[in-house]
Parts: sequence; structure tokens; C-alpha cells
Amino acid sequence: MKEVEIRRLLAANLLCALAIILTAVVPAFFLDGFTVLGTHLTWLCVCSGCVGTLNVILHLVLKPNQSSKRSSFAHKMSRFLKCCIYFFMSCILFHAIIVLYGAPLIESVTETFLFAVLLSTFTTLQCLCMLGPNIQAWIRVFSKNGAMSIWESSLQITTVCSILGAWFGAFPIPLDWDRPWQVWPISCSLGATFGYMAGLIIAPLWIHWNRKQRTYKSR
Amino acid sequence: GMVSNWTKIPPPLFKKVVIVLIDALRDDFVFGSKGKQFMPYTTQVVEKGTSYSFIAEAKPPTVTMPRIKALMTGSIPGFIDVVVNLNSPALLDDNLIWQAKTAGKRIIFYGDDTWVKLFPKHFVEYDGTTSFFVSDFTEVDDNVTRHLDRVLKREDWDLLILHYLGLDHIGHMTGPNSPLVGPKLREMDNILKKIHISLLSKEEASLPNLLVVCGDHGMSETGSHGGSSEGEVHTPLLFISSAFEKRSGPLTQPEHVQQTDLASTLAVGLGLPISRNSVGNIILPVVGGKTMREQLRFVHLNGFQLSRLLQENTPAYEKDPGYEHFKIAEKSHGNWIKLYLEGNNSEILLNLGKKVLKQYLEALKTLSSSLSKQVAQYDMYSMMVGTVIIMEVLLLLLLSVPKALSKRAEFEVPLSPPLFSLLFYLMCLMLCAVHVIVCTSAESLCYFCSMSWLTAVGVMMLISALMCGILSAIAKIFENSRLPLKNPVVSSSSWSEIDVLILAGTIGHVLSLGASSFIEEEHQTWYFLINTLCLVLCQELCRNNFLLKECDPQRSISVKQSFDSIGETSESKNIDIPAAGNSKLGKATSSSEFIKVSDKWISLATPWIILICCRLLRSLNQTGVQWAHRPDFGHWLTSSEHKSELSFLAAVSLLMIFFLVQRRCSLVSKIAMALGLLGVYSYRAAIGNVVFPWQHGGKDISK
Repeated sequence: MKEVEIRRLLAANLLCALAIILTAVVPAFFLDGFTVLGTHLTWLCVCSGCVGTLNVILHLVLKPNQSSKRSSFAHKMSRFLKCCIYFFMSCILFHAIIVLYGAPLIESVTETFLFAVLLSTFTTLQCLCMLGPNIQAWIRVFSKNGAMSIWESSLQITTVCSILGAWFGAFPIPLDWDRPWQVWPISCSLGATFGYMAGLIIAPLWIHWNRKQRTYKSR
Repeated sequence: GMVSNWTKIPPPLFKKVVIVLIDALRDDFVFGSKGKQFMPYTTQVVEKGTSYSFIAEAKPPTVTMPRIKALMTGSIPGFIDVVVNLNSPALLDDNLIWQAKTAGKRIIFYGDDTWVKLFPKHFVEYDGTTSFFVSDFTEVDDNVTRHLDRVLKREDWDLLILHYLGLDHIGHMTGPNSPLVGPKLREMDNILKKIHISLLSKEEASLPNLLVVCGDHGMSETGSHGGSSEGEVHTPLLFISSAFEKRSGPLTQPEHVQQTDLASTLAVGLGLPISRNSVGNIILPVVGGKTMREQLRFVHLNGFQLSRLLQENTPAYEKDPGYEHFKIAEKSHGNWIKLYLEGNNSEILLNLGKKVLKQYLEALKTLSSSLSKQVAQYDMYSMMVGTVIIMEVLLLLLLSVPKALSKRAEFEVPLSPPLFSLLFYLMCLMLCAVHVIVCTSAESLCYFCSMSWLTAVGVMMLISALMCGILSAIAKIFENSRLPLKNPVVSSSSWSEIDVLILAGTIGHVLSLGASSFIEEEHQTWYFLINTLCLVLCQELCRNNFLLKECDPQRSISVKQSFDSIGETSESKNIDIPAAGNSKLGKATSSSEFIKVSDKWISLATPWIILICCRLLRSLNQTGVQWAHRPDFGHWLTSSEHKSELSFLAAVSLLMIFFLVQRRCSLVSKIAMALGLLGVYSYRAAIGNVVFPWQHGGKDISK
């Protein structure tokens, strides 16, 4: 693989990370009393929206997997609808898993659902952009040595990091420190965000460091 | 110098003493804003009445039984008492209650039955209430208060002890800031008012009565207790009696005293000898309404008792500063007595007396603190021996566990080679030599040294044998790892993801026990780890079942070999691995021939069913400390409006038990089981937990 690809990956990831930081800072100028901890639900919406749109734009622009098939508009529309349905289903699935982990079922539904949307943006949206609504392709990418390009390796790393971040973010919840960031779902969503940003930065570095050992099968 | 002629114990200062011990009474419940709002009578007595109020500091562990021991013996019990807190045997140390009974005082007790266990035959009349049901905070106190009116009218008692548990239960259930604390404090205030008025009305001119209000420990911010935070160690201590002068002048903060001071104060107040192991000072204002000669007599008694205790426990007692001060004060006391007996009744005598009193009080304080420090000495040698044995057994188990859990499932402790090796005998000799050296040079008491020689030698042999066993197990492991692997392809001890997760989860759980919040919420850790494990299992199953069908032949051969070895161990794992392993075999289209589709879906659905059950369990019963008060499904089911739902659920569960088990039973067992399950339901219906369908909407069955 070429150095150029790695540099492109690094640039794209840094742009995503910057966007997340901007979502924490910029809306304070437009909305009154906006803080990440205070108006957390607003921040979740803004962050998911920004990251989602940025990812979609990046992948439309960069087009790392050149699918040179000419497809009709109807096909494209059906793919788009399928993507939307898969995204929504992944939100519901994440919501169910979070409730099974102990989130209240009837109270705080909005908070749990927005957290699920955030997690889906970090994980499923990336998969959808890069691989399309093709579950077999997802399973292939997430199996051992299944990544076929550096974009897919990056996808593996960011997904795993953001899920691990959300998992570790649950640790402070039973502590009785009475901090504002221990309210549900702030610690978990912040953990997921930090995990995602860490994954974005680590992925190009990891690929660069391992480039001698990695050989990708040609498609 | 001369010592006074009085040799007998001074007469009692109070006729009747009532001790009201309110469990978990924190100092700010009486002296703070809550006290002023909810305990008006007490506040008025403290501020304007004939009382003395102090803040008594308890030493940890702030749990009820050690605190009762501290209050009654004046000594400082240690942490090991917490272990026997649930099953406290009789108190054998010298204590106030025993002294009172021996002196012929009649003691009546109502309250926590811990007292009845600690002092089994000391009470003339008693009624112990159990402290086990934390959710009840009205009946435990009503059971005490119902006797109150009757007993206050009677004349046939000298010491009345009341122990109220309601406030403690409220603290545990809902915390110190809950709305239940206020009414409970008001209830306690009314009780104190009733007792005080009754004591005042029945008072004789010869000897006044005394009302003591105290707490055994306080309450932390979350309502629990046991540690040493500020709220847990500070309790109020009130002495109310007409023997005291009315308080006048500006309000001052109550002084701090030690909880152990109560035993010696009450002993002097009741005319009893001070308990032998008491380390407390008498609280002078309480016993100080008398002449200077009597006051000096009291403090001298206390100092004498403390110095005798010091003598018994420290070989170098003469060098202790408290002892030296006491001797100096005693000499000055002798001089004062000489002047007093000469009839010198002037100001000089009074001032000298005050000086002697001050010297005594300082000496007492120093003696108390050096005695308290002594108690915290640990028996290092016995502790080390115990720790060494435990660590050796743990190491031995850890070394044998991999073999025990492998597919050969053997647990072998290599014992016979060590027993005949030279190392074993050398170690035995060395340990016996160490034991002799430590025991002959030990100054303080040592439990292990007090055991017979035979037992000690046996323990030493055990330690040596375990050590030799460990060394031979380690040697065997090194031998095995040096042998060439026979089957390099199949390594049956390779770690899969799930193994890593289980190991990391166990270590993480152990580490989390270092934080007290995680200990209180340990069930959250368990639920979290089980959820993670199920999800990882689920994703592994998904991957195995839905993996792409192309795989190269080399991989399929190794997969087949690993499938064979997995197949042998599939009985020990509860996962449907053969179904998954089968699908990995090279033939893509015939994967469905090997497994039934229903098996595959059952194996995929099982982790999710476990997850749903865990989630239901979580909301069935809220435990822990922080979220224990949240409503849960269990409360909903056991409340009286939902008896029909509970009955239905109980009936369905019993039926399911029957249907799941009845397949493997003979006819006779089936009938017996059915009758048994029916009996269970009938019993529950008879005590009123569930209802039969034909009673729906009918009356309650009386118990």
C-alpha cells in the first residue's frame, strides 16, 4: 500500500476528530447556555449529526472502494433506503443492548435512545458508508485478518475503540462521587466519544507502524 | 503521703438511672438543626434545664455490638468483634451490668436482643426485639415503648435500659436526609419527655434520679455505619438529673468526650466499682455536685483503676508519663487531705483542691490515651503464620487449576515425594527454631505461642509440606514445558477470546473490591460482567454460524482436528459448539446437512434469553446502597394490591417446574412431586402471601 493512502486516511480521521471537538465548542456561540454536560442531549444530537454528515461527505468525495458499476437511480435509491433502515435497526439494537445492560426501560428513554444513536453513528454509519448495506461484507471485515484495505483496518480499529470506550465509560456509574458527569448517559457517551477519537488517531499510526507485516489480498 | 481513711466504695449518687440508647443517633440529630426542629423538649432541657450534654466519640468499628461492649465495659473492642456480631456470646469481661447485678441492683431492659445475648442472666425483666429485619422501623420501637408506661409507675427497679432501633433502620433504608427521620426523632423526644417527667415526679429528696441519653454510633451520609467518618463516630451524650444545676449563661458547643468514659462515670454514679478494663475517665461535672473531698476521691478511684490496668499490661509502667503524673497528683492529694483534716477551711484549701483536681484530670487523660494506644497492638507472629498458610494453599490451588480444568481433568497434589525429601526436614527444623526464638522473646501476648507444643510442631510441618508441594508442582510444570509438543497444530491450551475475557473479568472484579462503592454495588459488577460475557458469546456464535462458506483446505483440516478435540470437551461447555464447528467444515452447501436449523437458532437465541433474564432479575430486586430505595418489581408483586398477579406468577412457576422435571420421573415420583408443589402453594395461601382463584376478591385469610 502506498504512503499516500495512509496520509489520506490520517487527514480524513483528523478532520473527523476536529469536527467532534468543534461540536463541543461552536454551538455555545449559537445557543444560550450550551454545555456538553449541561445540555447533554442537545450535544448528542449535534455530534451525531455532524459526524454522520461529515462521514457521508468524506466517503462520497474520497470513494475509497471504487465501485465502478454503473447503477440505475432506482438501484441507488433502494440502496439508500436499505442504508437508512439498517441504521435505524442498529439504533434499536444498541438501545436494546443498553437496556439489557441495566438502563431503565421506561424512564430516560430519550437519553438511552440518543446514546444508541451516537454509538450507531460511530460504528454502523461508518460500515454503511464504506461497505454498503451488505451484512456479509461486515462480518468478513470484522473477522480476523479480514480487512482488505487500510480503510477497512481503520474501520475495525475505530469501531472497536468506540465500543470499548462506551464499555469503560460505564465504570464510574456506581461510584458515589455525585459528579455531574456521572448522570446517565453522560459518562458512557463521553467514553464512546473519546474512544472514537482515540481510534481515529491510533488507526493511521497503527497501520503505518505495521505496514511491513500487513499484506492485503487483492480483491 | 497519707491516703484518706475512706476505704469503702463511695455511696451511689443517683437512685434510679434510666439509659435511653438510640441506635445510630448522630450528634446533629440532637444538637443540630434537626434537633431544634424535631426534638423541642430535649433542646429545651439541653439549653436551659438541669443537664450536661457532650459529644461522645466512638471508636471504629462503629457497629452495635462492639459499641455496647465499649459503653458497658469502658474498654475498646477490636475489629474481630464484628465477625461475631451476628452471634454474640455472653460478655465475660468485667462490666457495669455485672457489677450492678452483683451489688443487688435490679435491672430491667427493653430493646435490641443483642443485650440479652451479651448479658444473659443479668436482667430482672427483659423483652428483646430482633434487629434483623431492617425494613421495619415502627414495630421495633413500639415493642419497647409499650412497656414504658407500666414500668415507669413501678418502684421495683434501679436501672432501666431502653435500646431503640428504629432510627438505625430508617438510616439504613432511606438515609439521614429522608423525611422519615423527623417523625422518628419526634417520637424519641416524646419518649424522653415522658421518662423525664415521670422521673421528676417520683423523685425522693434523698437521692435524685438520672436520665442518660446516648447513641451507640452515628450515621454516615448514606445512612450506613461501620467506619470512622465524622458522622459515624460522633454521638450525643446527655445527662439529665435534678442533681445538676440549671444551665445558665450563653449557649456553648458541647464538649467532646470518649464513649468509653460512660462506664466509669455510671459506675461512680451508681456506687459500683469501676470495671477493671475500662480506659475511660469519669466525666467530672456529672459526678461533681459534691464536696471537694468527694470529687477528689472519685478521680483518685478512677486514676487508681487506670494505673492498675497499666501495670498489668505494660512491664515498663513506671516510665509512663500518665503514671508519673498520677503519682504526683496522689501526693498532692495526700497533702490536701492533711490540711483538710487539720480543720483548715479557707480559700487556700479550696484553691489547692482545685489544683489537685486539675492535676488528677490531666493524669487521667494521659493514662487513658496510653492505654487506648496499647489496645491497637496486633499479634504479628500469629497473623504471619496464618497468612503464610493461606498463601501456600492458594498457590498450590492456582498451580493445580490448569490441569484440573483441562480435558484430562485431574487434580494431583504431589505429596509423597516432598515428605521424604531433605528439604522438608530442613524446613521443619528451621521453622521450629524460629518459633522457639519468637515465643521466648515475645513481650506481648501471642496466640500462636500459647498453643501447645504438639500443635505448633504440627503447624510447622504443614507449612513445610505445603511449601515442598508447591516447589515440586513448579518443577513439574517446567519439565512439561521443556518437552517437545507432540501436536503442534492442535494446542488445546490456547487462549480464546472468551478465556481472556473471563480471566480479565475475574481479575477486574477482584480489583474493584478495593473501592467501597464497588463493594456496596457488587451486584452491578456481576450483572455487567455477565452481560459482557453473553454478548461476546453471542458475537462468536454469530460469526461461526454466518461465516463465509469459502475456506482453504488446509484451514479446514486444522479446523476438523480442532473440532474433534472440541467435541470431546463439549460436555464440559454449555455452548452448542458441535453445531458451530460443523459449519466450519469445508463443504459449503452441505453445512445444513450436518446441523439442524432449529439447533442453530436455539444456540443463537440462548445468550439473548440469558440477557433478558438477567435484566428481569435486576429489576426484580433492587439491592445495594445507592439505588436500594428505587421501586422494584419485587415490591410491586408483594404489595397487597397485586396479590392476584403474584398468585398467578407463583402458580405458573410451580407448573413449569413440574413440566420441566416430570419427563425423567416415574409415575410415583410424578404424583409425589405434584402433591409437594401443591403443598407449597397451599402453604403460601394459608399464610396469606398468595390467594386461591376462588378467593379472588374475598377476605384475607387470618394467619
